[in-house]
Amino acid sequence: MNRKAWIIAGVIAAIFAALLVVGLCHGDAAYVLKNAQNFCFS
Amino acid sequence: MGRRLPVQLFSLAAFNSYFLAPGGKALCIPVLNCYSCPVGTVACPIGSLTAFALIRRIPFYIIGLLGLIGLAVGRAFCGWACPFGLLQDALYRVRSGKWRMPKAFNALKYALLLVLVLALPLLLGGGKMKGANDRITGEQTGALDYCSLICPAGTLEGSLPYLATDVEGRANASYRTWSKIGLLVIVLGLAVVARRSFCRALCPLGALMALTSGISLARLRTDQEKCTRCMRCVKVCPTDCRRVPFGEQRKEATAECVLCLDCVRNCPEEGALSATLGGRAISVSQRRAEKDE
Repeated sequence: MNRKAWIIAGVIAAIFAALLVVGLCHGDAAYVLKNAQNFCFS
Repeated sequence: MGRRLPVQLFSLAAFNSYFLAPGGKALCIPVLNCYSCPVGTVACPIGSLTAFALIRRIPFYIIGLLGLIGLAVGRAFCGWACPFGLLQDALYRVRSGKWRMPKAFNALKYALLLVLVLALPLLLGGGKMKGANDRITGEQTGALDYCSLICPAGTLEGSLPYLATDVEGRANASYRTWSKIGLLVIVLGLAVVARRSFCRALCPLGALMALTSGISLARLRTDQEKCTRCMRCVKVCPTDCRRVPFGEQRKEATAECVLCLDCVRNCPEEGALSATLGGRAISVSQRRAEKDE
């Protein structure tokens, strides 16, 4: 991979990481856990 | 199967060890392993996406996490870690007539992702979270989503154990439940004759992760000078996605590639085909490749 490809990959990774952080701050992980527990039949 | 089988077996155990990581269900990992099963360790991304669509909320966390995983390794989780993929690989080893599934079927999973995972839950969900009974069997609310209508992993790990352990649930099972069980039988039957048929045609998670294949750091790379175009890599490809680059045609594989590396392992020319991660070779074809396909 050349330098340009690494920069593009870095930018995309930063965007996804930002989305992940926004989601975590928004309580998404807690909702995923709550849904999973709610969905579990035991 | 080579090195892949031990990894798949380890993943099967790891993704069904809830008692080891009770908080693991907050994590969405791109494998089809139903989280309605009490022993499931992680949350199903498809079930979680549907849950977000039901309450009309943007799933930033899931997009970010799956995007990062897709960027790093593409669809390698499908090939190396998915328990349902392991089941299909095992079923394909059953002696029977084999069928090469037409590529036109590949588009079906994108439609399922769009309609049953996103659109219908978003439009008909009513903004409320659904309980286990509602979506495992789809009986009580008439839910129209992938989990309720199709998911064979959900039927195998959720509906069947639920029906086996809950007498009342079994007594009240309707045509929706039986149709899901019938679909599971069809999917498993198809897996015997067509390799990874479910992954290719019906898996919305595969469709989701295929969207990241164009940006993934994990890739195949063909050395055109060493490649003799014997096409063995094309023949052994489980998802029928391998392309042999020639001249200006530089594409190595379509978005269906699950990076199982069967092509690299079966390539008879030393160094002609390799798998790279961020440009660095992680697996290179050998002259005396194992031929256990």
